[in-house]
Amino acid sequence: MKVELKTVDDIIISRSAIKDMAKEIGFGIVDQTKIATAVSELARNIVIYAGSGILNVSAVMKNDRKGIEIICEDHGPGIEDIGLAFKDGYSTSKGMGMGLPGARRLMDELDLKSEKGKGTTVMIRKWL
Amino acid sequence: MAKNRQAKNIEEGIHDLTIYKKVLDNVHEEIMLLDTDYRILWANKGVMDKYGSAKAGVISEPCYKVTHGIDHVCRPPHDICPIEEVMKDGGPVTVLHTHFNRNGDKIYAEVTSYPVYDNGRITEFIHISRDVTERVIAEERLKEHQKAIIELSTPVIEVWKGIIALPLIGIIDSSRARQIMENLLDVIVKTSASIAIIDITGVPIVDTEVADRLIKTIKAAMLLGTRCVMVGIKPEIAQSMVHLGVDLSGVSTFASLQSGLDYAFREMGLKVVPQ
Amino acid sequence: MSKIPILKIEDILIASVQTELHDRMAEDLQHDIMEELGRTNARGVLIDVTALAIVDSFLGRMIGDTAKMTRMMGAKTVLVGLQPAVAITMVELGMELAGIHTALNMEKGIDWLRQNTKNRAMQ
Ligand SMILES: Nc1ncnc2c1ncn2[C@@H]1O[C@H](COP(=O)(O)OP(=O)(O)OP(=O)(O)O)[C@@H](O)[C@H]1O
Ligand SMILES: [Mg+2]
Repeated sequence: MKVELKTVDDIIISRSAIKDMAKEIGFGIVDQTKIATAVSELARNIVIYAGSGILNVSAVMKNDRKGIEIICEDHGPGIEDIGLAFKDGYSTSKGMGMGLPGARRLMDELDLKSEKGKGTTVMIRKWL
Repeated sequence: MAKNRQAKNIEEGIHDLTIYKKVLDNVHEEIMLLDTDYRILWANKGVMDKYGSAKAGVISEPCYKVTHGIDHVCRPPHDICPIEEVMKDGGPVTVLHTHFNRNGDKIYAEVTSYPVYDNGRITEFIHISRDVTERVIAEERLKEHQKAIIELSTPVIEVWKGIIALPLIGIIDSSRARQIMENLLDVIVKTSASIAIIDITGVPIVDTEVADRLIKTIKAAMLLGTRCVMVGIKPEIAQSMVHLGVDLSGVSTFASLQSGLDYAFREMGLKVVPQ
Repeated sequence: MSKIPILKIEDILIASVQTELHDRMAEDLQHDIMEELGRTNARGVLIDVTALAIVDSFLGRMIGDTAKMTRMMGAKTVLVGLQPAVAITMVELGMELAGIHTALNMEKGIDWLRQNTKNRAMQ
């Protein structure tokens, strides 16, 4: 499933669609909520900092274990200091600085790649 | 001389073929060769026995039709197509699939898909699948039992109207901690409890992970509107928690269940008097 | 996009969220609560989020800010009906809504507001 992000309303639409997909894969209500909330944080970062981007959602499998993978991609300004961006409370927009570190805690895996001036890609996964 | 060798080669070839056939027909694994359009080019006896029907054979049928009875490629959130995974990774991939045999019975199959390369390009796939229904069912049963044991080992008791107690016993690992948390919150909502008493008298070890989980449970309960009280903290556990840097400020703690109950009653404006 | 209605019962403003909260709706709700507080001199605000399936950092901040603003106006805010899955997720995210009173349901929330706004009035 591919979702385009352009406006804040797309955040709400995409996270509910992903929550439904997580449910279909077999995640319980707590994990569905964690996944949807992590997506909400990353999607909001894309809309705020990059303007627009794309979410790529898929069911994945590793050693007999089903899971969900979401790749959040934008071609925005990129993140200069990734270490700093993952610090609780760090924000360049008077936010709570909770999105990135929080998304990492909510998911089983998070991998962020960013290049200044080129954009940011965040991959998150959760296993059943 | 030359003629002799040729005859010998043919003889050897036939001998090899009989052996291959013997092997392929007598193994219980179902083996098939597929083209890149998911069509079955060749299948061993195992495949015919399991999935073939009198009316239709399996050769040149798509694999998903023969083994799944569907008319499209397997896709998430149900079974994941191993061929597509092989295309991505290049190497062999093993998946667990739900198949339907010739009688329409549901079976679990562990399917490994191997790519066949020709000049660096994948031209065909070999699928070897094994019926693992018994194993999967046994595993599912085991999981259910484990769940039941966890539930039994983390009972939540309604002590008084509005007061619930959660006596924890035994080692707490992260999956049990999760279960405890979800269970407690569900009971809180169901009983509308104002105070929850978490009794850790029976917990032998509290490491940072367990402490972290307990604190998160208490915070989540507070978000619902319920206060948590922690009781049964033994001296050695208090010592180790301080050494680990666990911060319990903001959580009411008591040494015994009795003093915790006493506090809860007082908070609720209740009084216990002797008759 | 619809608005969330705000009811006034005695001294209390009640806003019950019945759908997913879009950002704009949340902003409008904050604005409307403040407007009503100014207009009616209510002493308590109850926000019912029983139907809410997701609270992310944006909405969490919105709720926290609303509580702070109402406090400045001399009113108390209580948040009721958070779902267990939402509460667990909020804690994991790192959002504990410190300083906001929460209650299990509407009834308990109203009880708390009655008690706490009355006490203050008597002081
Ligand atoms: N996709 C992105 N493109 C560019 N910069 C980003 C992106 N995502 C995050 N950042 C940078 O990383 C910082 C931290 O992000 P994070 O989501 O943790 O906090 P926040 O968005 O500032 O606040 P909150 O998410 O709590 O509202 C941001 O302030 C921003 O500078
Ligand atoms: Mg953010």
